[in-house]
Amino acid sequence: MAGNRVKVILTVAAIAAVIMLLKSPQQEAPLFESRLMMDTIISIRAYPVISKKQLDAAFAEFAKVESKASFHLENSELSALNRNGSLGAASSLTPLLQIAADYFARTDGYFDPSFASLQKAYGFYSGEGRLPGEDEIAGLLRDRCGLGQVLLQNEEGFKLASGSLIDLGGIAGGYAIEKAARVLRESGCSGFLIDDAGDIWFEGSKPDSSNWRIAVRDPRDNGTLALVESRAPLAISTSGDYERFITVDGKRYGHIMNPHSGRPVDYYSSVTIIASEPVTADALSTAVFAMPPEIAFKWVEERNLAVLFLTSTGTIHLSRAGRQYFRQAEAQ
Amino acid sequence: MKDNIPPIFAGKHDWLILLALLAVSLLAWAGHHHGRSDSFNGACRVRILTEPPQELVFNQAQPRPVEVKGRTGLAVIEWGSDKRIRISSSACPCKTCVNMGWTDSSSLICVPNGIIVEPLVNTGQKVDAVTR
Repeated sequence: MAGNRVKVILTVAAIAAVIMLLKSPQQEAPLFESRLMMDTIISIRAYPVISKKQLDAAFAEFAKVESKASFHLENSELSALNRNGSLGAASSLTPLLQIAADYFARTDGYFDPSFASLQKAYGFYSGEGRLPGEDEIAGLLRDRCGLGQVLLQNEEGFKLASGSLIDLGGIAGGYAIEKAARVLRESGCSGFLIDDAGDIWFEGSKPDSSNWRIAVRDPRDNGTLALVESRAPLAISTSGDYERFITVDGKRYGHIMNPHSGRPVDYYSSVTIIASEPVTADALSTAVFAMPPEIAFKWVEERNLAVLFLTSTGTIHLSRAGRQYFRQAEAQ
Repeated sequence: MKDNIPPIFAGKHDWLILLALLAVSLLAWAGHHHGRSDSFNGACRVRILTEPPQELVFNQAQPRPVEVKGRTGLAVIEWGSDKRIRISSSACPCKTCVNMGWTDSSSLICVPNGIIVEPLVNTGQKVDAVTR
């Protein structure tokens, strides 16, 4: 009889322990660190806590990508290409340029890193905004833009048309996230999230097995436009007109250009894309942002992309695939 | 036959012990989940990416603006009457952080000054990250 009493008490104690365990994982804080790199803030959140060396190795991947793909660093390989008009086949920039060329083709030219020439003409790099005239824009579109025309690859390497400029900012972040994720994965980190200025990748699980929870910022009031929750790995990227812009005569112009008109687009306030790879989310959010709604809505449906559009008039449009991922934020 | 089944509670106080164990567990669980309420009280974490990095945590809205020193100079963090937060000024060239306005959920970021202001909901963050 005494044995039964012990069994019952142990059973109930075990149930109690399970209930208590439901609480304990929340108390395990992740490692979270932010660093200023690639002209922005990169954050890594890792469960369980990894070593400083492993974290440094992950951040080092961003530094490596920046050292070769920065538009602003004079000694980067990209700057050498922009300056000299050529780059050897052995360059470590080759994979990134090939990815850029691939997305240029896949997006019908809406993702175009050679728009840097246009962006320069508008003063996005100097910070002194101006509106180029029709002739100037037409000349830039004809002679210096269109990655498929201005960047040629042969066995010797790459040749860039005279006067053309390439800015890989539209994919360098996503590319660096993929490299850093590989480092974290190989170091045995079981769950992590990488945030490159709002371009996000997460994989693995949190200690309490809860979903990763990502908010989509509402640029109108800084609140939450939507939430994405998932346990499966996802890349989420948003393009908007509110962080990089010029102001001319009191009017704001965003940095993403329509490839046909050469003018900054103003169809949307933000476009958020979910993809299975960071580079894809990064490149496609830029490309879709550049597309007029009548093209973009159809284009994303044909590719079954999960996309949340906030149009410049304040209308929210969700692609069919997007309805599986985006949900309305609860009222505060 | 019935007499062969051992009684679950042999002692008259055993059930009290068991009930107490369960009650303590349930109270701990309920208390934990109550603590995760989404109400925002102005609490935020301020990360300053200087060398070495600094971190300040404000557990609730502050009655007066707070000055923090970033990489390029001072920034002022201010709480509104509705407990939302903003960066009201910063020693940065573009003022993107100031133009981000008030928030109670998204982080405010000043890249040149190396300052991140993250709204917190009670003891935990409501979301893991914000895409913007």
